[in-house]
Amino acid sequence: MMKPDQPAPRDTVAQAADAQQEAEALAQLAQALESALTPRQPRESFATELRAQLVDESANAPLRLRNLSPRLQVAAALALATGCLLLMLRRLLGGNGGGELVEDTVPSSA
Amino acid sequence: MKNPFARQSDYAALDDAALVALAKSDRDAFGELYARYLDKMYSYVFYRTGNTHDAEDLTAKVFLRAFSHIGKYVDRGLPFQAWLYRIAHNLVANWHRDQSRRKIIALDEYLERDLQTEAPDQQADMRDEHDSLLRAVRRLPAERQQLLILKVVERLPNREIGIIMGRSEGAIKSLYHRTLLALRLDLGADPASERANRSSG
Repeated sequence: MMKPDQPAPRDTVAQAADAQQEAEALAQLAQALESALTPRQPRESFATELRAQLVDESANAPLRLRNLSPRLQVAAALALATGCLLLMLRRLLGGNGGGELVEDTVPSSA
Repeated sequence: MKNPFARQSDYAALDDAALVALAKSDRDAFGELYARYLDKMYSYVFYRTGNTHDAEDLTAKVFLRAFSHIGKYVDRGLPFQAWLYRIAHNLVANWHRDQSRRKIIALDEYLERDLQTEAPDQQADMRDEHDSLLRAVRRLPAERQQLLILKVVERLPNREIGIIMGRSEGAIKSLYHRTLLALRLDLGADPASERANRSSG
Protein backbone atom coordinates (compact mmCIF):
# COMPACT_ATOMS: atom_id res chain seq x y z
CA MET A 1 0.00 0.00 0.00
CA MET A 2 1.28 3.53 -0.89
CA LYS A 3 2.11 6.10 1.78
CA PRO A 4 0.26 9.45 1.40
CA ASP A 5 3.45 11.55 0.76
CA GLN A 6 4.95 9.05 -1.69
CA PRO A 7 4.80 10.20 -5.36
CA ALA A 8 2.56 8.19 -7.67
CA PRO A 9 4.45 5.88 -10.06
CA ARG A 10 3.06 7.87 -13.00
CA ASP A 11 4.64 11.11 -11.59
CA THR A 12 8.01 9.42 -11.18
CA VAL A 13 7.91 8.21 -14.78
CA ALA A 14 6.96 11.69 -16.00
CA GLN A 15 9.77 13.27 -14.00
CA ALA A 16 12.28 10.80 -15.42
CA ALA A 17 11.03 11.53 -18.94
CA ASP A 18 11.40 15.29 -18.32
CA ALA A 19 14.92 14.83 -17.02
CA GLN A 20 15.80 12.71 -20.03
CA GLN A 21 14.37 15.33 -22.39
CA GLU A 22 16.31 18.10 -20.65
CA ALA A 23 19.56 16.13 -20.78
CA GLU A 24 19.07 15.56 -24.51
CA ALA A 25 18.35 19.25 -25.12
CA LEU A 26 21.48 20.29 -23.22
CA ALA A 27 23.62 17.76 -25.08
CA GLN A 28 22.29 19.16 -28.35
CA LEU A 29 23.11 22.69 -27.21
CA ALA A 30 26.64 21.64 -26.21
CA GLN A 31 27.07 20.17 -29.69
CA ALA A 32 25.82 23.37 -31.33
CA LEU A 33 28.30 25.36 -29.24
CA GLU A 34 31.13 23.14 -30.42
CA SER A 35 30.32 23.80 -34.05
CA ALA A 36 29.94 27.55 -33.50
CA LEU A 37 32.93 28.13 -31.23
CA THR A 38 35.91 26.73 -33.13
CA PRO A 39 39.60 27.53 -32.47
CA ARG A 40 40.88 30.61 -34.25
CA GLN A 41 44.31 31.40 -35.63
CA PRO A 42 45.85 34.84 -36.04
CA ARG A 43 47.10 36.09 -39.40
CA GLU A 44 50.52 34.68 -40.19
CA SER A 45 52.00 38.13 -40.77
CA PHE A 46 50.76 39.25 -37.36
CA ALA A 47 52.22 36.18 -35.65
CA THR A 48 55.59 36.61 -37.36
CA GLU A 49 55.76 40.32 -36.64
CA LEU A 50 54.84 39.92 -32.98
CA ARG A 51 57.37 37.15 -32.54
CA ALA A 52 60.08 39.32 -34.05
CA GLN A 53 59.11 42.17 -31.77
CA LEU A 54 59.27 39.96 -28.69
CA VAL A 55 62.31 37.87 -29.47
CA ASP A 56 64.41 40.22 -31.59
CA GLU A 57 65.91 42.79 -29.22
CA SER A 58 66.24 45.58 -31.80
CA ALA A 59 62.61 45.26 -32.95
CA ASN A 60 61.30 45.26 -29.38
CA ALA A 61 61.62 48.99 -28.65
CA PRO A 62 58.74 50.33 -30.81
CA LEU A 63 56.30 47.78 -29.41
CA ARG A 64 57.33 48.58 -25.85
CA LEU A 65 56.87 52.28 -26.54
CA ARG A 66 53.43 51.70 -28.05
CA ASN A 67 52.30 49.79 -25.00
CA LEU A 68 53.53 52.30 -22.42
CA SER A 69 50.91 54.21 -20.46
CA PRO A 70 49.90 57.56 -22.09
CA ARG A 71 51.70 59.51 -19.36
CA LEU A 72 54.96 57.64 -19.99
CA GLN A 73 54.53 58.04 -23.75
CA VAL A 74 54.29 61.83 -23.30
CA ALA A 75 57.35 61.78 -21.04
CA ALA A 76 59.29 59.73 -23.60
CA ALA A 77 58.26 62.09 -26.42
CA LEU A 78 59.31 65.13 -24.36
CA ALA A 79 62.68 63.56 -23.53
CA LEU A 80 63.23 62.78 -27.21
CA ALA A 81 62.26 66.31 -28.28
CA THR A 82 64.53 67.85 -25.62
CA GLY A 83 67.42 65.68 -26.77
CA CYS A 84 66.92 66.73 -30.42
CA LEU A 85 66.70 70.39 -29.38
CA LEU A 86 69.93 70.19 -27.40
CA LEU A 87 71.71 68.60 -30.36
CA MET A 88 70.44 71.30 -32.72
CA LEU A 89 71.45 74.09 -30.31
CA ARG A 90 74.90 72.59 -29.97
CA ARG A 91 75.33 72.64 -33.74
CA LEU A 92 73.89 76.14 -34.13
CA LEU A 93 76.05 77.62 -31.38
CA GLY A 94 79.15 76.12 -33.02
CA GLY A 95 80.12 73.73 -30.28
CA ASN A 96 82.91 71.32 -30.88
CA GLY A 97 80.79 68.81 -32.74
CA GLY A 98 83.21 68.40 -35.64
CA GLY A 99 84.71 65.03 -35.69
CA GLU A 100 88.38 64.97 -34.80
CA LEU A 101 89.26 61.37 -34.26
CA VAL A 102 90.69 60.55 -30.87
CA GLU A 103 93.68 58.29 -31.15
CA ASP A 104 93.25 54.77 -29.97
CA THR A 105 94.69 54.47 -26.46
CA VAL A 106 95.51 50.84 -26.93
CA PRO A 107 98.50 50.39 -29.18
CA SER A 108 98.11 47.85 -31.88
CA SER A 109 101.59 46.56 -31.30
CA ALA A 110 104.40 46.92 -28.76
CA MET B 1 79.83 23.13 -37.52
CA LYS B 2 77.14 23.86 -34.99
CA ASN B 3 73.57 23.57 -36.23
CA PRO B 4 71.92 27.00 -35.81
CA PHE B 5 68.51 25.37 -35.29
CA ALA B 6 69.73 22.99 -32.60
CA ARG B 7 68.70 25.32 -29.75
CA GLN B 8 65.18 25.78 -31.16
CA SER B 9 64.58 22.02 -31.22
CA ASP B 10 66.05 21.72 -27.71
CA TYR B 11 63.48 24.22 -26.49
CA ALA B 12 60.65 22.26 -28.10
CA ALA B 13 61.59 19.25 -25.97
CA LEU B 14 61.39 21.20 -22.70
CA ASP B 15 58.28 21.42 -20.54
CA ASP B 16 56.71 24.75 -19.66
CA ALA B 17 58.31 25.03 -16.21
CA ALA B 18 61.82 24.59 -17.60
CA LEU B 19 61.11 27.03 -20.42
CA VAL B 20 59.76 29.66 -18.05
CA ALA B 21 62.90 29.38 -15.91
CA LEU B 22 65.03 29.88 -19.04
CA ALA B 23 62.82 32.63 -20.44
CA LYS B 24 63.69 34.90 -17.52
CA SER B 25 67.03 35.56 -19.21
CA ASP B 26 66.65 34.01 -22.67
CA ARG B 27 64.46 35.55 -25.36
CA ASP B 28 64.48 32.42 -27.51
CA ALA B 29 62.99 30.41 -24.65
CA PHE B 30 60.22 33.00 -24.44
CA GLY B 31 59.84 32.62 -28.21
CA GLU B 32 59.05 28.93 -27.71
CA LEU B 33 56.43 29.75 -25.07
CA TYR B 34 54.98 32.28 -27.50
CA ALA B 35 54.77 29.61 -30.22
CA ARG B 36 53.01 27.23 -27.83
CA TYR B 37 50.36 29.64 -26.62
CA LEU B 38 49.81 32.19 -29.39
CA ASP B 39 46.80 30.41 -30.95
CA LYS B 40 45.18 29.74 -27.57
CA MET B 41 45.50 33.34 -26.42
CA TYR B 42 44.32 34.64 -29.79
CA SER B 43 41.24 32.36 -29.80
CA TYR B 44 40.36 33.37 -26.26
CA VAL B 45 40.70 37.09 -26.93
CA PHE B 46 38.95 36.80 -30.31
CA TYR B 47 35.80 35.28 -28.83
CA ARG B 48 35.79 37.74 -25.96
CA THR B 49 36.16 40.79 -28.23
CA GLY B 50 34.51 39.50 -31.42
CA ASN B 51 36.80 41.18 -33.93
CA THR B 52 40.22 40.55 -35.44
CA HIS B 53 41.63 44.02 -34.92
CA ASP B 54 41.14 44.12 -31.15
CA ALA B 55 42.00 40.43 -30.85
CA GLU B 56 45.41 41.11 -32.40
CA ASP B 57 45.96 44.22 -30.34
CA LEU B 58 45.10 42.48 -27.07
CA THR B 59 47.02 39.32 -27.96
CA ALA B 60 50.13 41.45 -28.51
CA LYS B 61 49.53 43.09 -25.13
CA VAL B 62 49.16 39.70 -23.42
CA PHE B 63 52.56 38.55 -24.63
CA LEU B 64 54.23 41.89 -24.08
CA ARG B 65 52.97 41.94 -20.50
CA ALA B 66 54.01 38.32 -19.97
CA PHE B 67 57.43 39.12 -21.43
CA SER B 68 57.97 42.12 -19.19
CA HIS B 69 56.79 40.30 -16.04
CA ILE B 70 58.26 36.85 -16.58
CA GLY B 71 61.28 37.80 -14.47
CA LYS B 72 58.97 38.09 -11.45
CA TYR B 73 56.98 34.92 -12.26
CA VAL B 74 57.01 32.48 -9.36
CA ASP B 75 56.28 28.83 -10.14
CA ARG B 76 53.74 27.67 -7.57
CA GLY B 77 53.03 24.44 -9.38
CA LEU B 78 50.19 25.91 -11.46
CA PRO B 79 50.26 25.58 -15.25
CA PHE B 80 51.97 28.46 -17.02
CA GLN B 81 48.94 28.87 -19.29
CA ALA B 82 46.79 29.71 -16.25
CA TRP B 83 48.98 32.78 -15.74
CA LEU B 84 48.66 33.76 -19.41
CA TYR B 85 44.87 33.30 -19.35
CA ARG B 86 44.63 35.52 -16.29
CA ILE B 87 46.62 38.25 -18.03
CA ALA B 88 44.32 37.91 -21.06
CA HIS B 89 41.21 37.92 -18.87
CA ASN B 90 42.28 41.13 -17.11
CA LEU B 91 43.13 42.87 -20.38
CA VAL B 92 39.79 41.85 -21.92
CA ALA B 93 37.94 43.08 -18.82
CA ASN B 94 39.66 46.47 -19.15
CA TRP B 95 38.85 46.52 -22.86
CA HIS B 96 35.15 45.90 -22.20
CA ARG B 97 35.12 48.59 -19.56
CA ASP B 98 36.63 51.10 -21.97
CA GLN B 99 34.71 50.21 -25.13
CA SER B 100 31.25 48.96 -24.23
CA ARG B 101 29.76 50.36 -27.44
CA ARG B 102 32.17 48.73 -29.84
CA LYS B 103 31.31 45.12 -29.05
CA ILE B 104 27.86 45.34 -30.70
CA ILE B 105 29.43 46.43 -33.98
CA ALA B 106 32.21 43.89 -33.53
CA LEU B 107 29.80 40.95 -33.28
CA ASP B 108 28.08 41.92 -36.54
CA GLU B 109 31.45 42.23 -38.24
CA TYR B 110 32.42 38.82 -36.89
CA LEU B 111 29.23 37.13 -38.08
CA GLU B 112 29.54 38.56 -41.58
CA ARG B 113 33.13 37.51 -42.01
CA ASP B 114 32.77 34.16 -40.29
CA LEU B 115 30.03 32.91 -42.56
CA GLN B 116 31.47 34.10 -45.84
CA THR B 117 33.13 30.75 -46.51
CA GLU B 118 29.93 28.70 -46.30
CA ALA B 119 27.99 27.61 -49.40
CA PRO B 120 25.20 30.13 -50.25
CA ASP B 121 22.27 27.75 -49.62
CA GLN B 122 23.65 26.74 -46.24
CA GLN B 123 24.48 30.28 -45.33
CA ALA B 124 21.03 31.46 -44.28
CA ASP B 125 20.36 28.53 -41.93
CA MET B 126 23.84 28.60 -40.49
CA ARG B 127 23.68 32.35 -40.10
CA ASP B 128 20.45 32.21 -38.12
CA GLU B 129 21.68 29.40 -35.92
CA HIS B 130 25.18 30.74 -35.27
CA ASP B 131 23.96 34.30 -35.01
CA SER B 132 21.45 33.57 -32.25
CA LEU B 133 23.82 31.23 -30.45
CA LEU B 134 26.73 33.66 -30.47
CA ARG B 135 24.48 36.53 -29.46
CA ALA B 136 23.25 34.46 -26.54
CA VAL B 137 26.84 33.61 -25.58
CA ARG B 138 27.78 37.28 -25.69
CA ARG B 139 24.85 38.14 -23.42
CA LEU B 140 26.19 35.81 -20.73
CA PRO B 141 28.16 37.23 -17.79
CA ALA B 142 31.90 37.51 -18.46
CA GLU B 143 32.88 34.51 -16.32
CA ARG B 144 30.41 32.24 -18.13
CA GLN B 145 31.77 33.38 -21.50
CA GLN B 146 35.25 32.61 -20.21
CA LEU B 147 34.14 29.15 -19.10
CA LEU B 148 32.59 28.35 -22.49
CA ILE B 149 35.69 29.45 -24.41
CA LEU B 150 38.01 27.44 -22.17
CA LYS B 151 35.79 24.37 -22.31
CA VAL B 152 34.48 24.43 -25.88
CA VAL B 153 37.21 26.19 -27.86
CA GLU B 154 40.27 25.18 -25.85
CA ARG B 155 38.82 21.87 -24.65
CA LEU B 156 40.50 22.19 -21.28
CA PRO B 157 39.51 19.77 -18.50
CA ASN B 158 37.39 21.12 -15.63
CA ARG B 159 40.32 20.87 -13.22
CA GLU B 160 42.47 23.19 -15.34
CA ILE B 161 39.59 25.58 -15.97
CA GLY B 162 39.12 25.68 -12.21
CA ILE B 163 42.78 26.68 -11.74
CA ILE B 164 42.49 29.45 -14.32
CA MET B 165 39.21 30.78 -12.92
CA GLY B 166 40.11 30.27 -9.27
CA ARG B 167 37.29 27.79 -8.56
CA SER B 168 37.01 24.13 -7.64
CA GLU B 169 36.45 21.41 -10.24
CA GLY B 170 32.95 20.80 -8.85
CA ALA B 171 32.11 24.49 -9.06
CA ILE B 172 33.16 24.54 -12.72
CA LYS B 173 30.96 21.52 -13.49
CA SER B 174 28.00 23.16 -11.83
CA LEU B 175 28.66 26.53 -13.51
CA TYR B 176 28.81 24.83 -16.91
CA HIS B 177 25.46 23.13 -16.30
CA ARG B 178 23.87 26.41 -15.18
CA THR B 179 25.39 28.17 -18.19
CA LEU B 180 23.83 25.66 -20.60
CA LEU B 181 20.46 26.04 -18.87
CA ALA B 182 20.69 29.84 -19.07
CA LEU B 183 21.67 29.65 -22.74
CA ARG B 184 18.76 27.34 -23.55
CA LEU B 185 16.36 29.66 -21.77
CA ASP B 186 17.79 32.68 -23.59
CA LEU B 187 17.68 30.95 -26.99
CA GLY B 188 14.06 30.03 -26.42
CA ALA B 189 13.31 33.71 -25.95
CA ASP B 190 15.34 34.80 -28.98
CA PRO B 191 13.06 35.39 -32.01
CA ALA B 192 15.86 34.50 -34.48
CA SER B 193 16.32 31.16 -32.73
CA GLU B 194 12.60 30.47 -32.81
CA ARG B 195 12.56 31.17 -36.55
CA ALA B 196 15.51 28.81 -37.06
CA ASN B 197 13.80 26.08 -35.03
CA ARG B 198 10.58 26.47 -36.99
CA SER B 199 12.34 26.27 -40.35
CA SER B 200 14.39 23.23 -39.32
CA GLY B 201 11.61 21.36 -37.67
